[in-house]
Amino acid sequence: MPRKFVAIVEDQTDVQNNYVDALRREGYRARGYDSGEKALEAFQNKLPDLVIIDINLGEGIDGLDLCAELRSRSETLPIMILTAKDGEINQAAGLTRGADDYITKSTSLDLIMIRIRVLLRRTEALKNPRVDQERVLNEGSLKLDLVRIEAEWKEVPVELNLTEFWIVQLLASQPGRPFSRSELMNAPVNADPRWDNRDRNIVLENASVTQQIKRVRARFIAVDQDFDAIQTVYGRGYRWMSG
Amino acid sequence: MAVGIAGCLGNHMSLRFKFSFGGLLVLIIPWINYLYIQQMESILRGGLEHSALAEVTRIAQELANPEFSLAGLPTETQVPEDSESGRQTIYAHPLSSTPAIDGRRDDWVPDINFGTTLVEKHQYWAGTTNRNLYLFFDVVDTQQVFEDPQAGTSGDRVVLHLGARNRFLVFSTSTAESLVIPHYTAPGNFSPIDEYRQDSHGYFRQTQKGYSLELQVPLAQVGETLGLSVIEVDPEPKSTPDMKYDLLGWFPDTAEFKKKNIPRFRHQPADLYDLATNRFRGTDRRLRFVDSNGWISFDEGQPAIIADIISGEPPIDVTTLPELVVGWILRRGDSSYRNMEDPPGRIADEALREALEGQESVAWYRRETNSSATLAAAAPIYATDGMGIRGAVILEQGSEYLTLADAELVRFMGLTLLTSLIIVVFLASYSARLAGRIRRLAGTAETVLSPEGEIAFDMPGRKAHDEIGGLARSFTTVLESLHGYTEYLRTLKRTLVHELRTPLSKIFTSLENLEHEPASDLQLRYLKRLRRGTEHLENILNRMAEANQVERTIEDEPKEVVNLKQLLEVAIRTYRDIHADRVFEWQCTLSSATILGSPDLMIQMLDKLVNNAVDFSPPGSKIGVELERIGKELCISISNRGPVLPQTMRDKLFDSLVSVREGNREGEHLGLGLYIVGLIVEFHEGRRWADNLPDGNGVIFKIYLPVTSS
Repeated sequence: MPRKFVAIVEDQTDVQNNYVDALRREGYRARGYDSGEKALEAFQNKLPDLVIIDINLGEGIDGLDLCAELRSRSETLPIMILTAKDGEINQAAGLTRGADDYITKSTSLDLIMIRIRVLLRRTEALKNPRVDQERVLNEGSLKLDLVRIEAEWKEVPVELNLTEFWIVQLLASQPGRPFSRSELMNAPVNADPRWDNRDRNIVLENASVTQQIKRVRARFIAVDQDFDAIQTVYGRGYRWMSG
Repeated sequence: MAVGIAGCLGNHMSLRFKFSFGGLLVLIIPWINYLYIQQMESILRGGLEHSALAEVTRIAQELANPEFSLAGLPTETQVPEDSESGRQTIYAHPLSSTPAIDGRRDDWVPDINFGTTLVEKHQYWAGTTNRNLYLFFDVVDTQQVFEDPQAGTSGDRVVLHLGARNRFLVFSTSTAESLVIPHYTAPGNFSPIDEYRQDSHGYFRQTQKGYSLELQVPLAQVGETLGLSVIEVDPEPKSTPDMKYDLLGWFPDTAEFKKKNIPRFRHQPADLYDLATNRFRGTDRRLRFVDSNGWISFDEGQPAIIADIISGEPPIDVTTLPELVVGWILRRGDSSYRNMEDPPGRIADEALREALEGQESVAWYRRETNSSATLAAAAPIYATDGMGIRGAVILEQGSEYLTLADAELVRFMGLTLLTSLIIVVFLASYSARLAGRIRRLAGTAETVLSPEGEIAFDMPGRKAHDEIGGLARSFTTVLESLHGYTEYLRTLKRTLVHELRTPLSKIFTSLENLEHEPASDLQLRYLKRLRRGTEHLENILNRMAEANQVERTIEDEPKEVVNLKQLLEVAIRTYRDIHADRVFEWQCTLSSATILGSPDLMIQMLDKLVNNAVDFSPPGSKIGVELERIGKELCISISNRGPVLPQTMRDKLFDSLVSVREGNREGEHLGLGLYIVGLIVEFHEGRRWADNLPDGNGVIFKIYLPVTSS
């Protein structure tokens, strides 16, 4: 299998180079671009396998526009958005056709690598029309395809980004058990130990847990008015209660 | 003066009070008016007194003229009655119409009942018309004895001594009721002698108690003395001597009676009246001449304003309240008007008696019912021999000017009072408005800056053109600058988080890459330190980000009914799990405690408070959590052992980026935790409060939240 090509669009050269170094260390082909324009130019003929875009690109086209442009060219291209402020996650994720993952710049490289792997694997899985039923989590009306990162509620697809997906996955993995904020922030998501033994941490900012939960609820409510499977347990956190 | 007083008022009194006090100074104006009018009145009074005295003296001088002696004023100086025992005066009141001689007194006009003189059980009345003296006797007699002309015995009888004739006159009757002609008589047994007085007559009438006698004698025969006595005859053994009732202490048992003991007779002679009224005519006044004992010889006229008092009619004028007030203010020294006569016919007034001692005098009287005043002036009449005092002239004069002055005063004072009151009310209301504006301004200035640093620009009264408007504008300007600064600070925190993220991510990514490279032990050690420092930096950033997050999103947070007790109980269970090295003591006696709010935010707030308590308390120590209801509020108290709060910083605790204590975790206390608590409490319309524990070994935080019914 040829090495995957990961592009990073980041105007901060140091950060860009660090990402590139880390990606190369992980065995990817990696290339950094200073601006959206340069990136688009380079992607003219062939799209990369995954794009990491800093939401703030200084002068010229900004991260979200770039994201939208790339999304218009490919439905399946995994796009990760890098933000400096948590507020921007909300802002960006609020858009209908968003990126596949949103991470803050303080997210550790290791975690980013995990996320990249998951997203790339998803691309592979999407190429294969056969759904690996072993990697599907069924919990009442909820159906999570852990490889394709696809959620269905009452057989209607729910659009979730990676963080949101993992939150649902974590909650739904032990229905009825409340997960505290810190658990949600740091808990390992053992999606499929047979498949990948490395822990995947969601890692949220403490303040954004509430916001993330809100957004997850909103995503479900968008397909089902009466959705209330994610409950708040005061002092304990949140739990999944279906049915 | 006003400045001095204003200075004395000092700065500790409210503006309104100062203004009102200043307004009260306006009341000095009516007071000055009062002083002025009082002064004016005293001058006016002086003038009136002066002219009245001048007139009274002139009249007195004229009365010293001998021609008035003929007209009934005593010619000689009289010995005062009181110094000579026994000698008294019979005063005959002038009658306005001639009574019929019929033994009844009901046709005596005016009814001089007040003139009744009591002598033992008997009574008599005396009255005069132009020429005649009328006497009426009411004699108490259990059994009347009539004279018997056949037997020649005398019956019950009345004896007069007429001064002008120096003769005794006896009235007796032989029947129960009859018109009688008097006989002359002589001292001794006073039997009638056979000589009649044709020009006098009397009428006997039997009464329930005895008999009455009404009689008429020409004044010319009476002169200046009049003796009266009643002789009662014992009906059974006719040998016993007759009972003689000496009516006025003069009665002669023998022929040698003392003439000088015979009571004086005083009345108001008609010829004096004619003479005097012709000469001393005047209007709106009362002129009286009295003899040296005060008996009235002449009485004419009445001041209009006291006419109704003299006539005894009830006052009909309705006095207004201000008149009464002014009357009360001005007439302080005047005694109320009285008739001056006691007994009737004799002037007994103290001030006017001075005239009889040779001293001209004046006196002021006021009417009870209103403020009008009457001036009385008196002057002595000297005897022709120039040695003694024959009597006095008394002039009573209503003071129309004063009445007018009173009316003016009432109007004037009323007007000034009204004006002053209007000014006071105006000043009071104006100052209230002014103070209100300033208070509103101050109130707004205090609340204009919300705890979150929001500034409301709507300063009241900003558009007014006066100084307060200017003040409001200055406030606005200051607030605008302040707002700019606050806004800068706020954005600073946000941009700081944002701007620091990028260099931090440079450090982090570099660090991570570096960690993947082989390193010596020493390098590893420094790498670890580098990571710790960077994580610490990130932690700080995260906290700031969290505060920003809460700041930004709190307004959109929906509110629901939260069972605070239940929420606290669940939360404390969690805290016990998390902070196993602290002892949580939970206290709540409430059965239910609900507020309207956001449970998420409540938990966030509790997290901050508990973390704060844990951070500042030694391991193993007690953390108290209490929920109680105080009035309409629920109070959550969280206390911990540990370092106390410095006094000065207590108010600033809930401000952003303020930390006042050294915690267990070095450098991690940016104070954002309590700032977020503050934001959440504000969102719930509650209050927060922090204090040291009474024993000084710790700190207590209290959160007050308005209770809501579930």
